[in-house]
Amino acid sequence: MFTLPKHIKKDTFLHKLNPRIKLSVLLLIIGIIACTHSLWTLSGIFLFILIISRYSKISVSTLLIRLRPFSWFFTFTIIMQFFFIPGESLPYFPVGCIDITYDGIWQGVYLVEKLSLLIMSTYLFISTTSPQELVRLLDRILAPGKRIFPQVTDISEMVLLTIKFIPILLCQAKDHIKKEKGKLKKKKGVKERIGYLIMIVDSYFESVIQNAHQMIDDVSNETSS
Amino acid sequence: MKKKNIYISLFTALSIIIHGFEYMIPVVTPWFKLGLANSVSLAVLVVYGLKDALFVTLLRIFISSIIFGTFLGPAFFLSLSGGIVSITTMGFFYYLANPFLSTIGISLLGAYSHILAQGFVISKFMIGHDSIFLLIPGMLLLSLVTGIINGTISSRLCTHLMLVKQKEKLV
Repeated sequence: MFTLPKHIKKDTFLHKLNPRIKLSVLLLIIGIIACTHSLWTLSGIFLFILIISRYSKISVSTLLIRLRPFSWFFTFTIIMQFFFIPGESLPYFPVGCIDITYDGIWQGVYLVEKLSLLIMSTYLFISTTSPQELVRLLDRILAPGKRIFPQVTDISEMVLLTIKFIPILLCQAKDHIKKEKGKLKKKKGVKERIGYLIMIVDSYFESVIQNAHQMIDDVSNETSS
Repeated sequence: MKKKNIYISLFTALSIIIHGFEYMIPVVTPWFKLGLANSVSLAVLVVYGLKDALFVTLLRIFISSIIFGTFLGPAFFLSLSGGIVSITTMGFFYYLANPFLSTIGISLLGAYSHILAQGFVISKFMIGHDSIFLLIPGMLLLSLVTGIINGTISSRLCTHLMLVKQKEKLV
């Protein structure tokens, strides 16, 4: 269900580096990736990522595994570029209404490379920064929001509280799913299953709300102690 | 800390759990999700107002991206654009047509705007091509189902939250 935490504990220069500097470099990389049209620049960024991953002791295979969940999106991007970018056709094309061009292939590969670099660079940032540092960073990012949300006095406290609630709610959800999973399998037909799914989520919400008072007291006591 | 803020944190955590819970539900396409977390945002919108709903949405997107390791990645920006546009649209229509639109109606508008915002971000900033809009009619059709499911769930959640609000006398 959850794959937390993503942080890989190592004693390297990048792990010790101030998260704000890391975020600034990451934003710069994102900006360059978004704006560049040069393959050399992208190759340079790829080389930079390789060097950084070596110094942060995070293997390239770990970075590449991160791309797997996006394989559908990459396939979709490539197909869209292949068939919709006009230009010089490949040999034996067009076949009927299907046309694949050299420009389409180039554009597809180029975009997938851009997206892959984006994912790898953000993963390097996430894996070398502890969740606590990220929360502190999040507090700084959301700080201007205090002007828009005057009722929120301490965002970091709320973020921490949210993170404290997650394991408690996760336990409740697991228990709830265990109880209801068997019943769901017995339901046949999409409509009946959807109806039962709504019922499961609703009963989960109800149990959370019923226990909310106790849960809040527990977490508040834990925070104050 | 104000009790209301503690409850807002609880609802944010709840939406993150529901977001994780979604991975266990089989769906028709690999990138398609039910968006059950939006039902919590919609319920907060109805019970507490737009500002709190927007806050819950933003906090959920930021924290879940940190938990799932997608912070500042393409999925994060898709989630952020979809989340902000859908909650703003739902808020706008909730205040504009409150007695005439049910929670399901508002949820439907939220689901449609979510898809359109994500389609816009993909076409302009990710694939640089308008071909994504060819898929939009199909996605909007699927949004019809998710919108109804989310609307039904949030209307039930609203009744629970109303009870909490009355019990705790939260502003």
